[in-house]
Amino acid sequence: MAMIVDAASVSELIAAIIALSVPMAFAALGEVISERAGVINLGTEGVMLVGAISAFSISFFQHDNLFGVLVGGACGALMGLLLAFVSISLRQDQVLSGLGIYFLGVGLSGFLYDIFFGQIGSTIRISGLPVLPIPLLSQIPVIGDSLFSQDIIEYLAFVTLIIVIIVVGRTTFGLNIRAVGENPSAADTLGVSVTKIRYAAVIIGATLAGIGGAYLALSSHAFQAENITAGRGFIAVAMVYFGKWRPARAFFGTFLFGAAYLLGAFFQVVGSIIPYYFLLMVPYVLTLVVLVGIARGARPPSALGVPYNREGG
Amino acid sequence: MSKDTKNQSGAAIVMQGITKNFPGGVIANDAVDFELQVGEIHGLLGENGAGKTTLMNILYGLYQPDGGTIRVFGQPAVFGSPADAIRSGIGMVHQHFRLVSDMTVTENVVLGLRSSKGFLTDTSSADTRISALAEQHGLQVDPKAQIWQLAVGQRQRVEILKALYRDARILILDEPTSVLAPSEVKDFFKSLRGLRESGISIVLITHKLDEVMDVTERVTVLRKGRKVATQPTGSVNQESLAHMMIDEAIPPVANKVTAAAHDVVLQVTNLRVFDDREIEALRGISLEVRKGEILGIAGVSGNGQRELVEALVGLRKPASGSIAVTGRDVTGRAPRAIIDLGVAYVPENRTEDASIADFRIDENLILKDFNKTPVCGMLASKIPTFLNDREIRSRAEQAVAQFGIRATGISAKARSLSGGNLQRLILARELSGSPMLIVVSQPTRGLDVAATEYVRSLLIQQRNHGAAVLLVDEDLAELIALSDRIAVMYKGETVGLLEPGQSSSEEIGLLMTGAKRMAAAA
Amino acid sequence: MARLKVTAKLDVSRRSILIITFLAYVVSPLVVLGVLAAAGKSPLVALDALYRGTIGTAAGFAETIVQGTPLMLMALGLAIAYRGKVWNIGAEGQQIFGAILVTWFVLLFLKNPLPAYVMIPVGLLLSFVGGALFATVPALMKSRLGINEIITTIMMTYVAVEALNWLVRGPFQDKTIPGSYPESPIFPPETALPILVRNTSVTIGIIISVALCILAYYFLFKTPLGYSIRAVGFNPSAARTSGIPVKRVINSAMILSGALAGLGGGIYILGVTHELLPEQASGIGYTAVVVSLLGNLHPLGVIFSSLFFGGLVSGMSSVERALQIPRTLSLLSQGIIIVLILIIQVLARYEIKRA
Repeated sequence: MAMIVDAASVSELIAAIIALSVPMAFAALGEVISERAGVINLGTEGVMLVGAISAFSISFFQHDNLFGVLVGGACGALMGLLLAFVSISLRQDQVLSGLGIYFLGVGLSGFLYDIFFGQIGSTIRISGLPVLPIPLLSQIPVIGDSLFSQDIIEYLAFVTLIIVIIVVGRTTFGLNIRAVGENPSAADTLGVSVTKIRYAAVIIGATLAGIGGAYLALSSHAFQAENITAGRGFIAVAMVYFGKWRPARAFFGTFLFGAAYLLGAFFQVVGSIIPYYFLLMVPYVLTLVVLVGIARGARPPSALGVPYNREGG
Repeated sequence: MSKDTKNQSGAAIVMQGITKNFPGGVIANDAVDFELQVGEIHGLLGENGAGKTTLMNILYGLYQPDGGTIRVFGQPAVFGSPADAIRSGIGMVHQHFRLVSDMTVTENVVLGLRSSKGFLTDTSSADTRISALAEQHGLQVDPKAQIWQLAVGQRQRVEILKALYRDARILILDEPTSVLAPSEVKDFFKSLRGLRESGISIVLITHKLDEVMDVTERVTVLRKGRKVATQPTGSVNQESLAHMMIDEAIPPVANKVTAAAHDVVLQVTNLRVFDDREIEALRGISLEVRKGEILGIAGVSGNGQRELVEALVGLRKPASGSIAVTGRDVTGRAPRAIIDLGVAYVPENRTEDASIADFRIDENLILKDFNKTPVCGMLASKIPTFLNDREIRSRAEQAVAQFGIRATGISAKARSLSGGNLQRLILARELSGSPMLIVVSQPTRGLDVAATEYVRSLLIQQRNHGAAVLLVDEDLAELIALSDRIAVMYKGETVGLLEPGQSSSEEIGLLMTGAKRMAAAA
Repeated sequence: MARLKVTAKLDVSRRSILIITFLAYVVSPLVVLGVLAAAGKSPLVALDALYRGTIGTAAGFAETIVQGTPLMLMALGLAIAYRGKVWNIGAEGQQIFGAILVTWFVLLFLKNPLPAYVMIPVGLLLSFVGGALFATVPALMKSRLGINEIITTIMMTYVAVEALNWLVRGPFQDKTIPGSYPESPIFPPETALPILVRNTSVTIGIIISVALCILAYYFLFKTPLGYSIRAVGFNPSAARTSGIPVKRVINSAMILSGALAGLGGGIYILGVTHELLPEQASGIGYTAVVVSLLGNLHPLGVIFSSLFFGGLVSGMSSVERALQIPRTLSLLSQGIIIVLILIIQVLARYEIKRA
């Protein structure tokens, strides 16, 4: 946990929550798109890890953070392509292929870290992204310093949210995605390529997850090879359930978890009787509680998880 | 675009020598020729499994033929996907609608089309155009409604509008009246004639002889994947068509001993059941089935039959009312308890609900009693121990012999069995315990003639030996042939209870639409 | 984009599966050796080191078994669960919790340990129970509420890891040694699993594991519960319609796999480490997922795949030393071998044609 909170400043609290949540928020948006099209990506965690290591490496070696984010997204896209191939073209069980992506991501990121940084003994640090305050708005007390003084990727997260909402609800592409996730044979009959739309949705979803992972590495400033994502990818997938497959709900659901991650660091500084490690458990226990809470009401896209076979195999 | 009908009287579609094979050795289409004239309504007739839908799916680009050619308005055509067929002016309305349930009518209609606004969807101008088309052809429907809100007849209109919106000149309709009640069929045919007047050529896939006589100009009969004949409708009648469709007429069901007044085996009282959409599917239905009789449930599919069957076998909890088997109350109990009382169930979906594709034949046969003697060894008669392989094997060998299951052996996976043999397997399992009550749904759907015969004779045999049978069947002719009494269901209630000998199919049809109700329907 | 048609082969005989699997195991290390040769490393030296590290020497063989044993039980449990399509990914958390429960028990008797024939069976039993308990929450969440068990078991694993971190720095910490080390007191010798081979860490753990695998074979294919787990895995709808209590079966599969994972953790701590360390969270539970897939989800297959994997780890260390290749290359080789085997297994079961 690389961010320490100054107990007195609410504004820093908000800023910290946003920074902690943005990686998950990107991943959750991506997963919404993928799942609305009918493909679940359980390997989102692995994609985030790959995004993280690639961005971290680019940042360290090229000193170009934005390019790092780009590469993180591109690596995510590649992994999405692999998942799409196995789940859609080969029609393998999406659970298994998602797991494969997860393990692949863990293995690859660990391996690459060892190759690039394994020889270096101490913790490697990189610089983060510069803060870009929005003129005027950033003067507003309390929220000005946090909400309107973010770095570019954080702004991008909110912009992406708006784009995703518009795309899913109001574009032909979004219409196709929704149709393909609910009733693929309806779409197929009308000449919509179920395969192409699902490929696109999965790749876009994984790209966003890769960007999320990239940002995680950049905002953490240091890279703990073992556990930098710490389950965030899975939490993002859970957030899609929580948000009932609506982009905005999933997006802001992740902020709840950003806050949960923060608790540990906060109480560590303040000092409390609750053991530190118990506080670290909070995001995970919270996920479980949330899943139980919304289990009854959730109705996923009808074709979610079911490979499409035109000849009904 | 070859949508302009250059020859006003000429061939819209010419299919020659179409052959299609499916894995497992099934020859769905065997060198079939088919021709559709411009501006005609052409009936494509045949029994279940004759190859009608396959042929049209090929025309629509859903399947690729293994042999043969297609010409549309004189131009050779190869359709790799429905998009190609649509571009050539062909539209298809499938038997099971392909609509996205929580999208609006307009969204469903414009799906797959370029929007006039580039990336963004253009619902308002689409709304207008859809309303205009609907007005023009008498297919009114609210463009802003979501599909799940619409009744079946309206959904069908949406399907047709989808095709018309794309300037279809050729319309393929697959069993369109299977979801309509008889009075709705009249209006539907009116619309069809109207469409024909606007110059649209129509293929009507059906297995109903009266419809063919009613509305078509020509009819092509398929049987077992082959074309039998193409005739002008004026020169045939129902008898000659039936003769062309099947080798032999359905023999009168032999050995049907008259049912005496025996004990009631199944008693259903005021049953109320909700479906998956929280809509009341059964509204206080009551019926009884006695020992040694077959009670047929007639009705257009979607009037509560499925929920009735699910409630009877324990797959769906009733909201109120009661179900009793031989006097024991089984309302809301789990399938296990109901099976243990001697209830057999032959579901309509063989591969999903009644068998496990990756299990072997012998493994499928023990699905209901794998933890009981003699299939399983027992400790102190209460605790199951190990499966008895020898017993399982001998049961399988016996079943295969007795029920004529054609397979490579008892170790063959269920996946490798044809429809008819799979049904034999299921019946072997369900019927071998001499069940007291048999609940069976669409028993001969998709089966060839021999298997159909066999299944029917089995059901009669069980009935003669004293079993009570509840038969849900969309095939009204079969229902009438097999049942001792028929209960007609409409919108979740029984609206009539009668004996097949006493009423005509018309009367049953009227009951099925709710146009008529019988006085005491219990 | 070329359209591929993937169909399950109708009748894959057991014999052809075995042959293909065997070939896969043999061929893939050879592929890696080929890659190493291309990188300029002598394949003969590599092959020799591989041989010595796996079965060629007593030390190598012992290491193979030591590495493979804890994997075997965990992979066995997962194989059973996966047959029921219960995707338990939390074997790691379950094995940690099993180890935690054993530690609690041992620490109770730290000063006055009971004799070995009490401590060991009770300890192992507790690890079994611990794993089962830990798997109960995801089990109920899946069977009662339909909540995806992958997410829940992974969440539980993170909880277990933090619990472990807390315990070894808090209540279970060895306070008698100077400094503050995150570890429990060393377990008394009465808790150590009996050693089978002198001067090695090969304990009766291997016997227990193999025996359980054989028992599991009978369980899965010859008992009603095993049958119902397979039925539910293949077609839950048909199973339900036929009266099988699907929820109970799902619970059983999950809890049983958790119990076996817990036992694996118990054998690891009582047989190898003899104390509770943060390294109990070694990731072995995740490796077990792969090992169970490599074993075709078959109890007897798991025996071979876990020993193969143990050999792979041991052999590749030996190759690493002999060829002076970096650890990462060795890890990558392991990954390649695993992927190759999985691909070959898939190809054996499916036909892939251009449509």
